[in-house]
Amino acid sequence: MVFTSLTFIFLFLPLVIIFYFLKENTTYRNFILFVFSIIFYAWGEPVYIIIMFLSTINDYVHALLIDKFKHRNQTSKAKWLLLSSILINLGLLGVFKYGNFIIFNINSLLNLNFKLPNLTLPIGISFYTFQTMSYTIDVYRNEVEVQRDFLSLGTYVSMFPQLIAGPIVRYSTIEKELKMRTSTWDNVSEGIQRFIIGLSKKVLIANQMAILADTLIGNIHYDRGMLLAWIGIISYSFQIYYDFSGYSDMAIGLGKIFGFNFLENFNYPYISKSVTEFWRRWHISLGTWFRDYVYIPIGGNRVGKLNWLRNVVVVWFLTGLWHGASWNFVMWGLYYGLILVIEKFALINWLNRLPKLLQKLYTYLVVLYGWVLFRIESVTEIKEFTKALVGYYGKGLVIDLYDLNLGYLLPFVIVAFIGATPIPTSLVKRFNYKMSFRWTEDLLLIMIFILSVMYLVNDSFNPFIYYRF
Amino acid sequence: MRNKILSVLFVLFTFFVGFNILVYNEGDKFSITENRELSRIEPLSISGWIIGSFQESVEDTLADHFIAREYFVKIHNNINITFDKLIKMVGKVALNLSFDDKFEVSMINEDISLLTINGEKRLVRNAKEYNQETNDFIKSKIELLNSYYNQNPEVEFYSYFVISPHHSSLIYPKNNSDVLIPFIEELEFPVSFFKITSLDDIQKYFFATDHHWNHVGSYKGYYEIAKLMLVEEKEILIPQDLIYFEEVEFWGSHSRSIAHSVDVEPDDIYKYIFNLPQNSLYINGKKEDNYGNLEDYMTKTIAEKDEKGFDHYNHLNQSRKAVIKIDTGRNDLDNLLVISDSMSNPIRELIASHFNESVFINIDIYNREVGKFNMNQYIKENEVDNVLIFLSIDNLFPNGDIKYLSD
Repeated sequence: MVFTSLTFIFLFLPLVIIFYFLKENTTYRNFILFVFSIIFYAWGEPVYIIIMFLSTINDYVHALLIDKFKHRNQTSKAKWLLLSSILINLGLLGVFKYGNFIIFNINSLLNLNFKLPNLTLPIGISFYTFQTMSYTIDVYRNEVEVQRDFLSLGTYVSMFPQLIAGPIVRYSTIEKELKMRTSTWDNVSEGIQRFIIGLSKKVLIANQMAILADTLIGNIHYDRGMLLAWIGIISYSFQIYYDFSGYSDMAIGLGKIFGFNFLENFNYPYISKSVTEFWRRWHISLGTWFRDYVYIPIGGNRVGKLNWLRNVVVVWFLTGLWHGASWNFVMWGLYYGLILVIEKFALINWLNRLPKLLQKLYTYLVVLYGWVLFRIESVTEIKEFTKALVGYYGKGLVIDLYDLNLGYLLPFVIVAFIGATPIPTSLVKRFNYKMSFRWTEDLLLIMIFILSVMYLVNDSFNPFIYYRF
Repeated sequence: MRNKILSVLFVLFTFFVGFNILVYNEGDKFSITENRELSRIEPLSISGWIIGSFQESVEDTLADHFIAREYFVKIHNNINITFDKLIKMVGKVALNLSFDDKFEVSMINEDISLLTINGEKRLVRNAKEYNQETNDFIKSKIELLNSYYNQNPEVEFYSYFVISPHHSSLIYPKNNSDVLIPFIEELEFPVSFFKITSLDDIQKYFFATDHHWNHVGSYKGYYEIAKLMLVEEKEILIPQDLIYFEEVEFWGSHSRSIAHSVDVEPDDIYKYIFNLPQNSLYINGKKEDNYGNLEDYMTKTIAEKDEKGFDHYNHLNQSRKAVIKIDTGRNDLDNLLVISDSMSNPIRELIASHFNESVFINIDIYNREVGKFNMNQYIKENEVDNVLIFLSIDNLFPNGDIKYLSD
């Protein structure tokens, strides 16, 4: 089930809220969240739900044993158990997410003919395996207490607000809230508001940007020139931002409704003044996960230059690969690794002397080209698109946008641009102290909600013209 | 307090909307506007759950029975039109873009645009997305048609393609249809096109609310097909009368596909009357008395069916059937096989008047009822002297009817 389905908004969500608030007991509420999360997951993934259970049981048992051996000062046994837990988690990811990719590359490299497993990717596996891994590692590091109640751990892993597309919520973030939390009407209201904002970001902006990006980032339109290539990739930059941050907003809002405080996942990444800053603002939960569980454990920056370079390459290689089993994602990750190294060694001081606007422009352009590598899978097509971006196929004409029936989407690009800056938030804050504005804000949210539902319903309008002819 | 009220209202609103649809969705079962059955929740079963059909039916039912659904579609379409006009205005004023003053095109949704010619509003299809896949598909189908031609040297082949007006017709130089014509001209047998060459053509030959041609357009099509198939000028049928059905208002497929969200005047329905030779009509092998339902219009009983979803084009002109055979009993003439779509509806009898036995196969319906149509086998099993491929150019695209021709 996805948050942007009518089934979720008009059946699942009200039901879970009603059942959740019937009793104030935390165990009861965890149970309700667990049961509804299972229904939520099984709605879209009825078979692979077993993988999620296995992953949860694996980390539940391993963490208990690690805790037991740590208390007996048998650290080496605890370490082996940690390793075993990590290997099982990575094994699940390796088989289901990277199985085809690995075998395809082995076949290509060694001229072999192993059969591809062709397994479908279980929904959310990249997120929940990272969450369960972080739990076991944190237990090993004594950063969190071991969870003896399977229901509580199960609720944490399967919790529907963050199950499918993040943010990656660490156990430490909600450890206390799993035991005890208070749900106030203020929280519920705030959560609903945040959910509506996220919904509108996804439905009203990301989906419109997707139409532009899908049409313009295709090889058939390269010859239309530079202008359309730029509009295409700018649209894609907004599509991916609004899609992902919208989903994170909905997750954070839903968490809030049920008394959980998830950490922010995006913080206006496109206003960053360097790529280093961009990665502090973009998909924060993933960046900090790799920092805490990969980069620092292998030495971080407290090593010699060569080892530091190795660490950067490892982290960004893995960051790229995490996004998908394809070489273009690896290229995209390494591209950022390279840019960050260049920034650290040479560019950052020079950048700091530039006017802020130019710093932001530099960052946006670098990020934009990153999206080219991210969006286009074939190297040949990346080359062709790059040529279109630099004007190899001519400047292009605005009228071509009308030719492609895309003119009506341009106002959405403007809205997307403004919405990616803190301007709307600061405007709301400025007027928020007035009571009258609070009702205006509510009215605005209701309108945005109705508009979003309208777009969802419109997508289902499906005239069957040729029937009965 | 305010937060409590708003939160409770949100939950109650979503709950009652959702469950009201689930419980009371027994109302409308058919959407006239969309011309299709509305979804129902399928019985819950393990297999249905595993393959996802149950979940899909719940989502579809919610969407199909959603409150004020058609109003939502209308508002959505009007937002698109407004944005399109706004951007065009900006283009004119700020970027000095020149658009022809005689007409204006505004996008309504992904499929349909509003075309205003000298103040008259019409609905047209948007240009289809043309890409490498389209290119390869059409090439392969042209090769398939050529292979039929080469494998049946004793049969004469002809082809006629209708290019109906769409968003980019006449407006932009990169017209998709023009891009496709060179591919189609790779056919090794005679080919001709129904082309639009001016704004007048659009108004003259096509309905304003439907994707089909009107009585004038279809007669022009018949005339051009007759010429293509070397029918002598004097043999070509000439209309004897023109009837206007005053009481009928026709909202066509384009209007339905935008939930009548734009205020476009309904089309008038006219019918040319010809002196047709005697013939016997067989539909799917069964003998029928009348081709189409002219009688309903002449007796004015059709006025009772005058609603926005009623398809007068098909009702009047004989709707699509898998196999329609028209036998003039003229053994001195050739037999004809026609592969066609609904564009042939108004002129099947006219074409058939020049042949002995004419069989019209609608490959879409044929595929639904029998399977893919195997032309070589048909020619082998029947006496066929001529083959006419008579399709809308849209049916050459990968999702078009042409895919129902067997290799």
